[in-house]
Amino acid sequence: MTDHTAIIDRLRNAAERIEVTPDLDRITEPTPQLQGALARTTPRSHRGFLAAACVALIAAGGVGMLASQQYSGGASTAEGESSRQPPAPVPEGAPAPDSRAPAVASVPDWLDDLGPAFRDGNGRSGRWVSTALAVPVGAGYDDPIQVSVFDGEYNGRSDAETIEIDGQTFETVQVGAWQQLATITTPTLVANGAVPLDRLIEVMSAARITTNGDDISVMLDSIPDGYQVIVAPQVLGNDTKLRRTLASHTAELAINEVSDWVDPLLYASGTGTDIERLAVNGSPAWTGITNERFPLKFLVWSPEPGILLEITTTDDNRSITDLVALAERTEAVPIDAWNERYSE
Amino acid sequence: MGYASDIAAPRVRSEFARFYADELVGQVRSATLIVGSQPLAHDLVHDVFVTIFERWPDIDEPGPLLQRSVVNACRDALRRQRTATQFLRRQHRLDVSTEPDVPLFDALAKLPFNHRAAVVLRYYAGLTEAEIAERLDCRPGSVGPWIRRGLDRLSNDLDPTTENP
Repeated sequence: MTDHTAIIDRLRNAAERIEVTPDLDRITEPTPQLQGALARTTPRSHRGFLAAACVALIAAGGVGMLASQQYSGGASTAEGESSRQPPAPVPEGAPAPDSRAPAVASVPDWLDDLGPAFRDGNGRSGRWVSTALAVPVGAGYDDPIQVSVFDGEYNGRSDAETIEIDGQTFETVQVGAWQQLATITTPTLVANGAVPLDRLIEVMSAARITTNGDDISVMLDSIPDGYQVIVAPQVLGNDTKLRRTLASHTAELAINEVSDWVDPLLYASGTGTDIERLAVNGSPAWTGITNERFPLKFLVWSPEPGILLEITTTDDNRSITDLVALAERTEAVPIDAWNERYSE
Repeated sequence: MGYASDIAAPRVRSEFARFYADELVGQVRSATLIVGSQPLAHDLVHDVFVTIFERWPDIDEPGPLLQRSVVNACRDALRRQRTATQFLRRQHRLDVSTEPDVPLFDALAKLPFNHRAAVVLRYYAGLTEAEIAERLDCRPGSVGPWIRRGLDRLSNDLDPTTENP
């Protein structure tokens, strides 16, 4: 038999000499806002914030309320009063992480199957407080922006890109029009929404991290014109590594338990998309359609105090009425009951 | 949603970015050995990555799907450009690497597609014969003979003294 070792080695050597240049942006298409931000000179009104934010973040490791330089941009109002209060704690009786999971009493005819599945948690650790602001429109809100402070980690930072704005370093992550801007210090201040980068910068410029004993929080000294604070600062519940969920066979529909977000409106505001208020069994629910690579309808509601569930679907044939009907058949059951019901 | 969504949140991009980083170099190099052109291989692999990114939430095993799709893209590209392949390959020759083993690429180009792909997938990508059969959509018994004939022909065509540095 012929010895092909030399040929094989030559093939491998030739392969190793082929140069490959990564081009991830060609696939994931960063939005023009980020590209613009890289080349743009930040407006003067933001510069005070950037210096002040660094001072505040360095000092935030101490104890007591912080005073930081206030953003002096002209296009803001003083509507941020409702954010200037201690953060709301996680409600008494909220479920422990991974102690409840969604179950559907009777699957509607249009949903041919719904089976058990697992999804990763978000890798959140440390203390988290989030608030949200948006433009009120009819029965809903447009252009929501979420502002958070945390001193731990979460998975969303793992692929962040670093950008320089007026000499200061930030991390940014983008999914379509949705963008997140975060400081690189700890505690970390982060704002996200499907709005231009300038708007995120404006909101961050008005945000201050505060500490009081073991508590951290975020305060907004001002907010953009037309906006109002729709969720006051709220402490988030603990994350979990795995979440039990239900998914259709085609993965076009899923039902998730997201109780760590405490408030359905706070959770919905994180989508960055325009949201509308509905009702599920008489309780407030929020819906919207994100449209990144494909439209995704979502519905988030609280079936009982301390519990949050959401339905997401990419199935164009499903109306929000269908989702509400499904939600009204869905409950959060203890894990033992879920395992017994949905295990193979 | 927000941080929590597996659709709208960065997790999708984060997971995909890791997958992309893990797979890119191997896939482009394999495809370059198969089609004989690094720029063409780069384009083909990225086109496949785009289709996988669009379906990312629904894909359970992206690795095998990526490789199968890249091989198919290489086959389709060579079919479409059959008459122009040699021209394109030579046009891009200087782009293959800073020090391309020109005789090796010429010898590879003379092999039938399945022989060439099987050799590359076995000895560069490190796949088993069963995995290669799955990627090439053929019977597992066909792969071994293709590899042996491919290597035999490469050995016959390549004079050791012709190897580029």
